[in-house]
Amino acid sequence: MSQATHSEFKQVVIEVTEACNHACLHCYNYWRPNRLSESVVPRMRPRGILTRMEILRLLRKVRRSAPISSVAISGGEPFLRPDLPEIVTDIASEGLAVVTITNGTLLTDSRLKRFPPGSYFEVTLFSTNRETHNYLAGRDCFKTVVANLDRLHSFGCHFVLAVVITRLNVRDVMQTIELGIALGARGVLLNRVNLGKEALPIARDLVPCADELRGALQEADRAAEKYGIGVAVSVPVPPCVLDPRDFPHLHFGWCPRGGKDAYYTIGCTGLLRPCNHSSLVLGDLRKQGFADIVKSAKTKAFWSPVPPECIACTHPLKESCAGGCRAAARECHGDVNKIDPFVAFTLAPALTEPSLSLVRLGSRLPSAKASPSGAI
Amino acid sequence: MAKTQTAVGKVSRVGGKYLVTVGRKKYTLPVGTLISKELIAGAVGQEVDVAIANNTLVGIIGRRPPITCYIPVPELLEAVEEEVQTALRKVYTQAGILEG
Repeated sequence: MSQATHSEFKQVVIEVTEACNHACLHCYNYWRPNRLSESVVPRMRPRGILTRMEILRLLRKVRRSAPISSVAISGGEPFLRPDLPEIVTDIASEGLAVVTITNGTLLTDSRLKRFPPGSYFEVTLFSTNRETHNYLAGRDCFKTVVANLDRLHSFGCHFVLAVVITRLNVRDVMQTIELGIALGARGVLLNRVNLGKEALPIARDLVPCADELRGALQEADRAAEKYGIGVAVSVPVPPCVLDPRDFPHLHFGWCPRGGKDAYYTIGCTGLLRPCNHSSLVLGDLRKQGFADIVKSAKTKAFWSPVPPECIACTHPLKESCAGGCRAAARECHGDVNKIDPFVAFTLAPALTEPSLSLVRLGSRLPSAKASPSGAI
Repeated sequence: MAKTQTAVGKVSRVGGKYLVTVGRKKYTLPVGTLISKELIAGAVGQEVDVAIANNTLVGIIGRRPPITCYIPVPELLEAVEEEVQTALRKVYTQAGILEG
């Protein structure tokens, strides 16, 4: 995949805060402390966090050199910023499409009524099983999230469901999609877990093996066909793990690798990174031009490598895959030339049960309670 | 900052100009600087949400944003048939996960 010129980029991600009220087991955000020992992270505002006006100013700066048409607001948890509805309104008023990525716990009436009509949210739900959702999220929030999703439509808002697939919820995919549809979801993002440095020690427990993942995607494929809902496997699954052609009703995405679909990420202090998964700072958008940063040698060096193990690959989708997630390789191995760690763990022999290393302090593993399924 | 109001308008093209009609009022779109021509050309004939401040149209609010975390799939955003949603709602209400 060739690197695009700056005049082709269509979207950016803006992280409006690093603070988060969740402590997800799989969280890849590089600023996260040890998630096994902290249930909630009320992080202080870092020095120099972008104000509402600065966010708008930086976006206009990006638009002077790139024709972006959409913006994803992310964090941390964006709703921890009291001015989030106004930030979204500002951006929407510039003619840009906005989607806010949230854990869904803070979608209160007073906040939602301040959003522009027709606002889109991407909301995470791990499972229909309360214990599983809470365990992965690191706090008791399942009921709140479900109740909040149920009220979104009354504010003229829409949402897509984001499901992160781990070994703990890999068997809940059909039910979770069904619950999402029942709540009014307009689509599903099925994101396989993407590893970061903090999650690496528990990766064997988090990453489903290839057979488990295949089973989950078969369920999702069935749901997409049966219910007519769009399901995207958004975080790329390398074809050496599973062949996307076996799931005709799912949309498979690939890392844009700096191509025109790249989603450069503006951190909450204005530092620009290749994507939201990466901690690599490419430049400071407050001081440098967007075009200067994205066409720099540092940026090119991040997107270019193909891992040695993948060079001899003969799969027809080799060019699309190009060795999987570069950000995960760099975060976990400190080397962008390494293979995506997800590949190694997925192809490793399956463990029978998640190990004790996953047990959180003051918590316990969720039970494998069945949820209703295939009832219509 | 001026209070921004939202309304529904219809996009049209007259000569080389792009317009949005809101009620009886027509607004010329400042294509090029803030609104890409490619984007607005695809919206001709369609209704869009618009933002108006101080009697000036300040922007078009996209109705079908692509999902950018991680890969945009614009065609994904379609409401599921109401009967399907209703039937599943019943199932998950009976299971005690949703409240009636």
